[in-house]
Amino acid sequence: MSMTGALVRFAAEMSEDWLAIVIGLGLAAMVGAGLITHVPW
Amino acid sequence: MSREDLNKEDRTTTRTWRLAAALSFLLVILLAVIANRLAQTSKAWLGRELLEYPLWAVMLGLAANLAISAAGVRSHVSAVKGTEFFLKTGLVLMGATINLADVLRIGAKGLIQAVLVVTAVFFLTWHLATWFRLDAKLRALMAASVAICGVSAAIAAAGAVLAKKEHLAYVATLVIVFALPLMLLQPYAAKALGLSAEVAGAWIGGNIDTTAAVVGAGAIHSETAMKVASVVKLSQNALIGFAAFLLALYWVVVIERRPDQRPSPREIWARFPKFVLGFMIASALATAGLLGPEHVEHAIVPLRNWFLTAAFVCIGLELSFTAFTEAGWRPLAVYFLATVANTALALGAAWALFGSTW
Repeated sequence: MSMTGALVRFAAEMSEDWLAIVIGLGLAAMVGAGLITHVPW
Repeated sequence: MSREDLNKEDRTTTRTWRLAAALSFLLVILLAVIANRLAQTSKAWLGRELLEYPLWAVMLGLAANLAISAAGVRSHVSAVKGTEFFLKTGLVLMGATINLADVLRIGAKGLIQAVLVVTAVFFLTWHLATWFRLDAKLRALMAASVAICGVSAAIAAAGAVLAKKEHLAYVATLVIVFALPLMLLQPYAAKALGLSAEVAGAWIGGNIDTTAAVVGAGAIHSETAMKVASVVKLSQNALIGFAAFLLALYWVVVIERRPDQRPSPREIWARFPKFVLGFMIASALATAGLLGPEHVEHAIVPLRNWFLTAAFVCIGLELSFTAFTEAGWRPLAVYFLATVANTALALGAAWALFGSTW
């Protein structure tokens, strides 16, 4: 299985709560590290 | 059929599910972008928003829902549990926009409000449902959903009392059907009553059952109301494990008289909404200055809004009336009366707890 396939499977099997924590805090960490500085709205 | 054929069938089903999930995801993103554009364009043309973005998003979701149902492909779209994922991620990001001291201050008041209002509304709904001669399990589901936090509470209660699937589907639909008009009306009612943003947020968070509609109603009122409403709602959500445990205990001991089958206290942690921890961690990181205030404003707030807009689209997209048409008028009457009582009690509690400066 490819890396992307494994990640998709892992995400699909995670509960929404843990997925929300991983993605939410992951994005916050990227913002904190200066990798995301501006998002259009 | 040989094992090889079965494996092949499994792989085809998984592939179809993934394709449907990817297309549903793209549809939600597309509708969220259109909702955002409509809100911004109306603001540019009229000088104010014709409708706030949560309303555009829900309306577009509903329109897409009707179109998809008419095309006969609805079951593929509902394969994605969109509302919960987008909402919870949006709420984790929202944590980074609120100071931890405010989270604790509002959360403490929210917990007091939750215990008072949830207890009163739970027993009121229970008695109303008894009076209207509803099935005992449906009674438990309705009392939990109207008193605590909508669909999640109904799911927890269904697990506690081993309710029928049809009951759960019916209550889940009721929750959304009542939440949508409240999401539209309550922010304007709060403005008409001259409530401060904090009291309005506490009222919205203490009354509307489903968290997505709470955030939407708060956003329609103001940024402050959205934050207060969300923290108050999360305080209620955090109680769900205790409520499910107590309900299961009451069920086996009092209703079914099987005290030997008492539920385990581990149920409390199992039912605890873990994303609340993400919300608290994000708030702590931002309060410690690790995210940078200008980055929060220009990156976290828009990201939060995009996730929430997608969640609002999903509310409209996932609404199904199939279960709703089969249950008759009595549960509807109970839910309506309980919601009216909840609205009045939540207003009193919000005013008493959030109207003063303590």
